[in-house]
Amino acid sequence: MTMSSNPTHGYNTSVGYTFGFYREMAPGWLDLCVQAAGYEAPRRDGSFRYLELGCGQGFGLCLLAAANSGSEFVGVDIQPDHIAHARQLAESAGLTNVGFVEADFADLAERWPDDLGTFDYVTLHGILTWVSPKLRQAAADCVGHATHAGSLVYAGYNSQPSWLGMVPFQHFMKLFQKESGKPVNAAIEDSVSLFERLRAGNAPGFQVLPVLDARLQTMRSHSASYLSHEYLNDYWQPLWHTEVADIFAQAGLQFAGSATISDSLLPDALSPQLRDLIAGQEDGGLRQDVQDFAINQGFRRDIFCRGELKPLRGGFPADDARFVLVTQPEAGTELPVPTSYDRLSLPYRNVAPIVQALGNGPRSGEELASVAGLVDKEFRRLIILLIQAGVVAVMADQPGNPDAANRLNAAIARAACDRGPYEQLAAAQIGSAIGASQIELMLLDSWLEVSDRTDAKAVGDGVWDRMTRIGQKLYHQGQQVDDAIARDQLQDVAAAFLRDNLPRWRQLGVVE
Amino acid sequence: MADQSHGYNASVGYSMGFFREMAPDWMDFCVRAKGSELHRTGPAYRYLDLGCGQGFHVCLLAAANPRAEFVGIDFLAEHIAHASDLAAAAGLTNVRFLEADLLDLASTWPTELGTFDYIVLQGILSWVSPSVRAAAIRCIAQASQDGTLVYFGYNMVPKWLSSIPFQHVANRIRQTTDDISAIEQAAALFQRLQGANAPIFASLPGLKTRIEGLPKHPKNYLAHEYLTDHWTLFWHSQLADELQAADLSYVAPATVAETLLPASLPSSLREIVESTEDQGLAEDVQGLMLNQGFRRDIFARGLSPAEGGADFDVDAPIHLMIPPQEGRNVDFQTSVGGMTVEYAVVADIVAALLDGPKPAGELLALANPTRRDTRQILLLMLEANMLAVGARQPGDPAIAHRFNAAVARGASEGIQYRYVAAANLGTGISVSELDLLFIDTWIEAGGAIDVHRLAAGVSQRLKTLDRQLTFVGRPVGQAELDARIAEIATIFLEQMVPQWRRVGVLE
Repeated sequence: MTMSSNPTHGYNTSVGYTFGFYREMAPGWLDLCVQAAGYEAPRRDGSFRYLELGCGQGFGLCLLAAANSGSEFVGVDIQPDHIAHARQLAESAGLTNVGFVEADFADLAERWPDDLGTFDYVTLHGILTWVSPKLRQAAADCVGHATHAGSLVYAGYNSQPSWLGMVPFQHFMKLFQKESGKPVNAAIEDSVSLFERLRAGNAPGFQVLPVLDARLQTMRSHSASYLSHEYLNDYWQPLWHTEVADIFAQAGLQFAGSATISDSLLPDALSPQLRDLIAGQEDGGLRQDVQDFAINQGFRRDIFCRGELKPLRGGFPADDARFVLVTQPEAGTELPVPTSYDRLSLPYRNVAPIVQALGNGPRSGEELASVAGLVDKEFRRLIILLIQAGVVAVMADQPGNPDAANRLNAAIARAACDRGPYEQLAAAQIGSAIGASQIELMLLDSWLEVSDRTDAKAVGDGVWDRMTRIGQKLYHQGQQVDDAIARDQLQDVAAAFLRDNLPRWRQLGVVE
Repeated sequence: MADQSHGYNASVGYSMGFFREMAPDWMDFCVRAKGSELHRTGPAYRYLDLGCGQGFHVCLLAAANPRAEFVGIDFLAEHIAHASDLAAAAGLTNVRFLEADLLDLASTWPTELGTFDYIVLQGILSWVSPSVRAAAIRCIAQASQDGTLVYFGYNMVPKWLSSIPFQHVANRIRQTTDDISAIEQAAALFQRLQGANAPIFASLPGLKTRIEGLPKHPKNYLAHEYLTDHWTLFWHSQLADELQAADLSYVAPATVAETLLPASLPSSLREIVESTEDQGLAEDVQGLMLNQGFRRDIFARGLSPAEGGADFDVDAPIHLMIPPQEGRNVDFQTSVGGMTVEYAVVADIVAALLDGPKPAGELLALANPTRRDTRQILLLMLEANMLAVGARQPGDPAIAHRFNAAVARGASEGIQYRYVAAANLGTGISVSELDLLFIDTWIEAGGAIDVHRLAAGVSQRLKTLDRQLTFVGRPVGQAELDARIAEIATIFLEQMVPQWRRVGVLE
């Protein structure tokens, strides 16, 4: 590694990044989305190699490694503290199929280490937005080095045009920090208050940016660590799809679809005028840009494929695809489905047959279509929206050994009892991860420890002990529950956990 | 070289603009209005137009300021060819042109060019890559000396943000078609998107205004503005930071009404600017507040910014240009806000200038009970082109006349000129194509021509150019056209010729 006077290239490294996991980066999900876009997913035989460029704290990558134990994962990041955390986490869970490299894209682009080899999946989340044009090019060069024919590449980035309205906010927040040398929190506060004063003074510049107005309302509710990573970088460039596609084209990559699976319903889901307008664009890149403009896209998750794409044989979903229930939607209520183009909701009666069928275990696409009484396009739409809503997931073809996932999940659950930052659990059967609240994680930790794993009282008491140890209170619908009855209530919570969560989590390969 | 243009759109010639804010006396006036001292003393200054385009602006200044020396640099051969032809046709001896690439110039600056008292860059920094921009700044560093004033006109972030989608899409379409159709297709696409109620129009209200305004602009301007691989919108502070490399610091806006800032803002906004210590940050806050779209900044090398006490260059000669209509309220619309005053507020200023220019100090001393702030009113009248800042050392009307004759001839041949040089002002004034056709006819006859022959000559020129004359928006027929031209011919001979003689447009 060469020494550089500014190893961070203007990227903000003063506050550790959040411990996120993005399901759209899971290999099985990427395959699924490529199929939804109408192409064959490049086949792989059981095991694959997966690289995350800019892996941050490595939590997402560890989840994927644990959920896909037969495959090999590598994470690269520039920040030593990120890499240290990632290694520690992998070690504590006994993961042997994930490795981390502390490196600078600029150096890697110049000299790709032979021993890293090439990968079936390469993912980059966010970083393209936050680095200089030069480093963006270096990242693309790294992707060129790291891919072979059939590799899928995921890039998630802030996109035009939705972020345009935030350009002034980003500029001032950065200037405040630079000029005042104040800590991040103070710079955030200064810029929020500047904009509030501009709003109060009816500044014309404020009136023409309604987006700014809307986002400003919620600005104070975000964590300093998120805001600092989002805004306090020397470079901050929302990108057009074509700008990203152009740099990846140099590495022989072509656009293969959106990893936001509901985007595969576009442009048909839009009004006829907009649909025709978008579909009428001959140039594929321009079609995406015009579509983003039409829906005011704020974040893109693009999948690129190196080499040729083959049209999908058969329909979507594939007849042999098997689906599993991830979350149980509340009966009788509309199911919200946030998409990039609309806040949709599905009536429960449309969802109920599928949810009920899946209550008895995984089902094939064919079976679900038949219970839902839908065919072709209608079934495709419903299943895509259910996946988007996080209600169902596709089972992995060749699930990995569940031991690794169980071990990592035990470590995550243990950390949660000490106010750990994690909010996901690895799910080996879907080769991905699912969300879990702190109370669920504490229930899991307690359940793993009790001798009788059907004893709701013992599990509940265990949670109470854990809460007491860190001074945590129990809340029910936003209200703090009196300590005197909290213990009893926890028994009910534990019973529900044993009854609802555990069977689902077993199906998903979260627990044994 | 593979791509000589560095992504800059070079396929459509840029329009023949002249910019009063880039005239030396105007720049001096603005710098003084912000309270900074000046270095220049005499009329023999040196002026460099970096990215001079077709060279019209710099030729006009050379014609209006014959004792100064002018240089224009551009990377496009066809621009330089036009510029040199115009200078030759006008017999100008104090201007020369150099066809050069900024990257080459930056690495080997021709030392025989020397240094300059004024350097101007209109727009170009917005349309070139970061590396060419850095090269331009290195050129400035080599071409400047202590006291050099450097002018930058540039598109700004706040207001132009909403145009980014149009720029992006139009430039993308250009990959598959020619410039003019790229502009047309992009405009049609956005009109359809708007017609289909794309939600983005709600979050970028400015875009709607831009799209609706597109047909008002000539297509070659639009091509030049938008069809470029690099299209950089600036914050003032960003430009100021980059210019530190050439040891330049900000001294004043060249948009004269903006010298009134921040005092002219409503108090709640003024306080925000005034409480912002960092100068760059304060300028940016102000730009955001006003939703500024274009800034004209004057930077200086080795000049310290104002220390309060902003006043006027009291010796600057102020000329009456287009007086406001007598008895009517006067409406001032500027980038810093609007203001309407009664005619009485400006009446004495207009009256004082009817018999010729007066030093600014004399106007400033005029007492008028209806006026609270004479300085403010004078600045607003300058902004509105009711007044002009004249040259401290007037030029030679014979030289300006010769240049204007060449311009008028060019207009008769269809070149879209819209300005003439005014020797007594040291700057240009705007004219219509019809004005130029009159001037051409009049000069051709050596100034000895009656109304009838003058009108006939202009009619002939209109016919050659295939121009339709419209009267308040409706096209007029041949008989009415002839009558109108005869009317205008009378006005031309009785009013315009004497007026233009007074400011040194004609001999």
